[in-house]
Amino acid sequence: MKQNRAKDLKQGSPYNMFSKVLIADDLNSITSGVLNTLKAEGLHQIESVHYCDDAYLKIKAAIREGNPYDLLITDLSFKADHREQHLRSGEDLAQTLKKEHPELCIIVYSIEDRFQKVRTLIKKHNVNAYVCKGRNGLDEIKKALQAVSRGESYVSPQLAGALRPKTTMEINDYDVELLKQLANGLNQDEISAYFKEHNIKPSSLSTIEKHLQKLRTRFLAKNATQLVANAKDLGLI
Amino acid sequence: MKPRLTNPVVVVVFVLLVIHSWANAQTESNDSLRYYYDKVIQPNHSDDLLKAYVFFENQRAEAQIRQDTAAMIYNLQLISIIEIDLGLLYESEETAVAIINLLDAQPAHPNLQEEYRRAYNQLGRIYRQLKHSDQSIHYYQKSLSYTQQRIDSIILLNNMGNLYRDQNKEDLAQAYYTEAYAKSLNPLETLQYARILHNRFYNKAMEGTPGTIDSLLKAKKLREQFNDQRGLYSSFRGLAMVAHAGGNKEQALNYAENAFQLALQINSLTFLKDAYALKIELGVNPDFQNYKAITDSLDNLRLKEQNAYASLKYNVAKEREQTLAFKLQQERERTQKQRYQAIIIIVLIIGLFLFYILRLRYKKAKELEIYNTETRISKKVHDEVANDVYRVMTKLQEPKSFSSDVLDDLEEIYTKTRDISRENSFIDLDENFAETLNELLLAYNNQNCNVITRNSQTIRWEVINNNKKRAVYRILQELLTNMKKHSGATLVIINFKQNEKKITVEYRDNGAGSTLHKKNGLQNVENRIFVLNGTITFETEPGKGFKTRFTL
Repeated sequence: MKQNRAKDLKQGSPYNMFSKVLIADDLNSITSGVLNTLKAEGLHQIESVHYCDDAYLKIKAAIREGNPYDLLITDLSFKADHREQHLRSGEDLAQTLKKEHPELCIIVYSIEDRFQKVRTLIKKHNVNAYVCKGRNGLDEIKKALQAVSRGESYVSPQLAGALRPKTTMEINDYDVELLKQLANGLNQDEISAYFKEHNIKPSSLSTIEKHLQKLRTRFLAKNATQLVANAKDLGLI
Repeated sequence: MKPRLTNPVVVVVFVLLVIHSWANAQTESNDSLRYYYDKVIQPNHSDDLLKAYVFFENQRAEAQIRQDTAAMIYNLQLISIIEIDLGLLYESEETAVAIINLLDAQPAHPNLQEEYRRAYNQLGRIYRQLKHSDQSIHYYQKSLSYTQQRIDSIILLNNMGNLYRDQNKEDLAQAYYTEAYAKSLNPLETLQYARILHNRFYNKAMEGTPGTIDSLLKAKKLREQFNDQRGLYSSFRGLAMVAHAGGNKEQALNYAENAFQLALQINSLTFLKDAYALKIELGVNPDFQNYKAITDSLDNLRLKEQNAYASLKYNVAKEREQTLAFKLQQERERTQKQRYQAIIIIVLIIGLFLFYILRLRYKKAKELEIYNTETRISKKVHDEVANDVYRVMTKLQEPKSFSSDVLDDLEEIYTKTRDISRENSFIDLDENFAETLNELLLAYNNQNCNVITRNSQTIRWEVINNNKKRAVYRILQELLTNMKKHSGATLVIINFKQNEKKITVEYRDNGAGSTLHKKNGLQNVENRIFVLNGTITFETEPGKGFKTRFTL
């Protein structure tokens, strides 16, 4: 052991800002997977707990003793059992700890892949990384370690959409009117003129062009003809 | 042989007799009414009034049993008249008051005017005799206000004149007599005319005004012609007094004797007493006259005492009546209150009952939903997870096939379990539901399929209740899962419409469509709608896409 540690210190871990790591997960198999990955990355001072409350107490105690943890890797969902828990979920734990100790790095490692949850954790609770449990989960843990140690945040690729500006596939009555005129055989100029005449706003050519572009994307259409055909299929016009 | 039947002829005769006597009884009833009426108006024998009283009292009792108010009033009127004639003034008063009470209880009708007139006139007469002048005047005037016919007003004016003459207010009396006289120049109303004639000129005759005696004699003659015994008595009495005043003692005694004979015929104690008093007054013996004066004052005294007693009795009765009426009112109010309370209690019970039934219904539907969900999850775990795991297990038993495709299989199973978990996981309904829903829909977007929403951003989700929001979320989730699995659609459009607290969602895709299948997913959709009392329609045909619209 001593030899190993000495070797590590000598070699220097690539993540020298994480000398002390805590894993919170209620499944031993998962914990051991992460543990092995971390060890392979040259981290050795790793401990694990099965309950959020335990994680919280351990981190608090370590701070009191002047030997704080640098990184917490936590699951979100913990099975409820006979033990009464004050903190019931990884989200509670991350939120509380980030509030009290913003300097502590937290990587969330969860099966949960809903954008909203990811967004809340990253943007609101300021966790450093969000890794989705999956086939590439352990690889992504490595990537997350690298990113966080560089002071960046990390999110699994399949969840990247969560952090992008909001996307919608929304159309409204204006778009439907546009489609109707298109179906009537009007070209963009004529539609613009028609809208001006009927006081439908916006009616500028550039806006109409932009809207039609958007509609083509929405309706998976290569050109105006296909756009009209697809809209007709869906009974919009 | 014994005759088994009585002679049929006897039977027929008996029946005829019964019918005859019954028919007689019918006519006799009317005849006797007429007969006794005449007896009241013109009693000839000593016991006519009593017989008439018994008859009308029986008639009244029968009318009361039949609840024939009109007949009751008629009979009471005659009874009241008889009672006056018999000198039973207080009884007569009571009867007259009973008539007025009956009249008051009737709904207002013009025909009642005449009855009121009679009743009040009767009371006026009674109080005159009881020497309650003020009351008498009061009731005469009241009666006059109900008077419609001239002849009736003549009678009343005459009566009022009489009253003032009693009080020695000769001027007032004359005024009434004159008015009555002016109205009574119609020869058809002879008896009234005779009465007015007599009354109007009596006083003048007493004063010795020449020619006035002729008027009195004319009245007497008319009364004789029409056999008006009471009127005639009045004429004889008046003439006797006039003769006495004129100093013609013999003539006076003569008239007084005639009056006495008439009083005997009329057989009214009142008349008889009056006749004796007249004889004594005109007589020569001063002792008799003194005796009469003393008797009169004693009578007056007794009458006063009686009146005081009667009014006391009346007041007590009235007070008792008021107490009774108050109690009755209280009782009525209490009954009313109890009725309202009963209604409130019934409404409450019905309300509770309805509430209970609705809750039971909701609970039942909820239980069904839970049961369905459980079955569905269990089935999914069995069909999608257990089978796949078994497949991987069999694969692993063949050593050579162990390669990366096992990992692929496992990843697939992992994804499936995650999907199952997501289908049933917690939905954040309170905060930003629009975004939650949008994310659900976006999750079904990929290179091959676009889920487009229309007007979803116009929906104000905060006014829609959580059960509906949850249902919208789950239904769309199920429809889209179904779409992904079966239809191969490339475009889906979901149109949202809001009407206050109701939301309508229209789903349409360009997929394969199908003959309507209600397995699993769709059955579940229907259950959700049913629980929330919503409506749903499906429209699908192979090759024409799938369309559904639901309102919650």
